[in-house]
Amino acid sequence: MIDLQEIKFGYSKKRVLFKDLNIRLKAGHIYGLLGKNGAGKTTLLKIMSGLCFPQCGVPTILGQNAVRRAPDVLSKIFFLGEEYFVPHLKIKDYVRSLSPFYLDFNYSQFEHYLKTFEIEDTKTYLDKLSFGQKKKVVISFALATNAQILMMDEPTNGLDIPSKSIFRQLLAASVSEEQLVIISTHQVRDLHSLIDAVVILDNGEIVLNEFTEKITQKLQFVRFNEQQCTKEDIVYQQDDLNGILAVLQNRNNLESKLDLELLFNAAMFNKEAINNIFNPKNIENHA
Amino acid sequence: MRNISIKRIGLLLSKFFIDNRRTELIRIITGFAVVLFVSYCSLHSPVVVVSDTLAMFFGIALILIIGWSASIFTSLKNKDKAIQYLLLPATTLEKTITNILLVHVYVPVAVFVIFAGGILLGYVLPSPIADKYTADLCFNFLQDDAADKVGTFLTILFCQSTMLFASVYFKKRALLKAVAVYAVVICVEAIIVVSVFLGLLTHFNFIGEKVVSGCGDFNLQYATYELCRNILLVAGTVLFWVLSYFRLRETEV
Repeated sequence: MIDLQEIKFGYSKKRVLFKDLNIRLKAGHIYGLLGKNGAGKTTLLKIMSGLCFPQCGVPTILGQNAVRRAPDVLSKIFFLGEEYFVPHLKIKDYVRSLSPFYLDFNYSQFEHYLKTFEIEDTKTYLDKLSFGQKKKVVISFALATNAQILMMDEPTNGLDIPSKSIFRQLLAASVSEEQLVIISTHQVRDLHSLIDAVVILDNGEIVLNEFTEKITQKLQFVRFNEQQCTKEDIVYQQDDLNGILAVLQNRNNLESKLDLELLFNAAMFNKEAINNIFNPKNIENHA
Repeated sequence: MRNISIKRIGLLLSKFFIDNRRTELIRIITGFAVVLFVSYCSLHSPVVVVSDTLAMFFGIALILIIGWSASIFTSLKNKDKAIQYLLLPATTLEKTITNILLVHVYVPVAVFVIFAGGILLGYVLPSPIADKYTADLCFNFLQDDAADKVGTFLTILFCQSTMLFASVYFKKRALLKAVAVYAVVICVEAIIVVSVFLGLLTHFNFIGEKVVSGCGDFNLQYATYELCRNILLVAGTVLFWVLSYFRLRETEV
């Protein structure tokens, strides 16, 4: 669905952000795009959607060059930026203005999502809503487009705690096998139990691109006392109020629950070990 | 997929009018009120000078058309708006054609409606000193020399296309920046013309003589001059459309 090969990109010739970046994302999955501030998450989404043009390499989306911004591709993708422009319109007029461009838009779904987010009145002016309320409307719209590719940049920013939970439920319920969802965030806890693949980006480089299932096969997330394991198994460890949290190499195929925050920290502090575990030669492919 | 779909152009136009109906309505009402006020005062004044009224109407219309053209395309004004616009499922060509239709069809039609409506209403409103002769003259400007009108029309078309390009290129404060560019271009042109001619006259008197003496031989017919000017204006208009298209296509956010 999305295939970026040997992408080179920089906002200026001297400041290169991505160099030989390769990534392939498949349908039927919800990817969590994780990275520190300024790691290039938003830029990567923009390259995928055709908003930014790489200096080298071809970003392919739905089999076409993203740079071309072909309408048949654009009608099947929806990009929800961290901050989203809303005109001075009532919700119903906003939908009337934008929805005809998306052939699979479903108004009943939109109403259902709004209702779930507890936004009842579609005669309210969008720009008069709070940031969080606006976000709920736009998320509802994005989901109702039934776009094949849904890109969301920090979608939970500005949402209150119950709404974050509703967002996760709605997204999990609405995504089909034909769809691909990419959620970029630095708030890893918000994606817990939602994503089934993780992409970790650091300094313009893909540190990890794996399905969560494979991650828990190769890594173990545990709370332990130092005496309990050998040092060579430890990929990363950090102190916690109740002991030590650690990421271990899972040599004995033991089951553990994926801790995204711990995984992210492990990828940031021990990039080399993560690379070695997940086969650095093919890290960009889920062949 | 085809590069041009009438349906998608229709959707883009519909989106423009839904999104901007409030702003456009305010512009039309304000314009109408100004024209009505001016026309009422002029047409019902016993001391009005017809040529002054006509010039004022023409001036207001010109400013309105150019200002409106510069402000009609605001989709790249800020980053979030630009993201939404660039990812709208339509080709760049369709988006450019939509902008051309808005600037070259919608704006002049709206201005015409404002002026025709304003002048007509200003004329029919009862006044003890209504001057039918003055009012008739005001409407008569539409029946002026056809050749002059073509020139004026093409000049306005050219100015509009430069404004369209300016709004795509500059994104913010397009009118101001475009006017500044115009001013610089005119100044540079004036300096070049003045210095070249002054220089030629002062230092190369023989060339001046030759030119003057040869005037009869190379005297261009006014019609030929008009034709050349019109061709240049059309070419310039098309050039700025094409530039707008490429600028839009290459816009990154």
